[in-house]
Amino acid sequence: MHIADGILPVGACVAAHGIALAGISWLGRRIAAEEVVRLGLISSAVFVASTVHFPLGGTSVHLGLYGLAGIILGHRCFPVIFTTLLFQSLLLQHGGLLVLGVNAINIGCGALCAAMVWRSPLPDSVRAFLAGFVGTAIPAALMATEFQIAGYGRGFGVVAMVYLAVAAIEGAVTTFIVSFLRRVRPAVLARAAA
Amino acid sequence: VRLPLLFLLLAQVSLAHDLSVTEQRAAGAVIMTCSYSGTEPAAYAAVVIFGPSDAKTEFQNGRTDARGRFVFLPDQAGEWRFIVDDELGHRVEKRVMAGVAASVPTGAQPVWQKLVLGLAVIGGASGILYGMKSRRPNRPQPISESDDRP
Repeated sequence: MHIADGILPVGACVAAHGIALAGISWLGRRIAAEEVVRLGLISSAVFVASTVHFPLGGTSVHLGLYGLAGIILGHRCFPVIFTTLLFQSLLLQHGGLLVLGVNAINIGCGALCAAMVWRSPLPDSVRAFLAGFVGTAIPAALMATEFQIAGYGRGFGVVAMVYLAVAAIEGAVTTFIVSFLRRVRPAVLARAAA
Repeated sequence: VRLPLLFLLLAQVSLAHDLSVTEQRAAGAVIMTCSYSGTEPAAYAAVVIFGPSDAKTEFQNGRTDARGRFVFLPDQAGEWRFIVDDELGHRVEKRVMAGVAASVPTGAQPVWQKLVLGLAVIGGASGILYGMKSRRPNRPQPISESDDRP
């Protein structure tokens, strides 16, 4: 999910940085002090989740919790995803620094779509699963498309197959966390839906 | 007279290009050096290796380097099959008795240390942002009449 440096053209990476920074300044404007704690906690959760690895389809994949970030943070998920990806790149070597903008757009779009899914009038468990699913499936689809354009990798089909399975796991994990939060601290979800 | 001489010359050329493999050990790793008659290195020749427990699935494959060398680290003791083929008609299969190679320390920072560092940085950044956002501007306080009284 985290693209490394040296795969995509430099020009595309620089342009993506510009778009990502514009997105941060737009979606991160006027952050209230009360929001900051929640942003920090979700950033920490996403940061830690990326170290939960499991083998799948001849490669190693990890949890992302991007859907959960979208559910709890709404449109604020985008700057949080960018910041978390920056720390993951610097400390865990997950993804490159040059390609950080591309990764932020891919994953940020997934989290934003998850936020939109969470606002739908579906039952909690269904929309939580769908939010977790699209939070991974959309970044994977964007990444596979970029690989296809750059002429890199094992092909769109292989990437899509691997990450569809990851998206299903993400959906299940997100459903579990949302049901847990609903019982323990429903205010977090109520505030997110507002 | 010329024909036997020609055959003799070709045989000499063939012998001169015999592919041979020698083995060395270093810290449990097996270094295979492939050369033509021990002089000219068999550079970029295709190599496949089979472990003692599985004769069908390759343990490793690749190519020799520019000097004809190929290094592998056995993960179990026993007889290993090393096959080198320059894809120009020269092929050698060599059996190597090897023990388990010692694991090489990577010197990488443990993941838990990176995690703690990352969480500390995120927590610190959030704290700084919270401090900045929660700082209210200094507004003039309204003066109540009761305060004016001595």
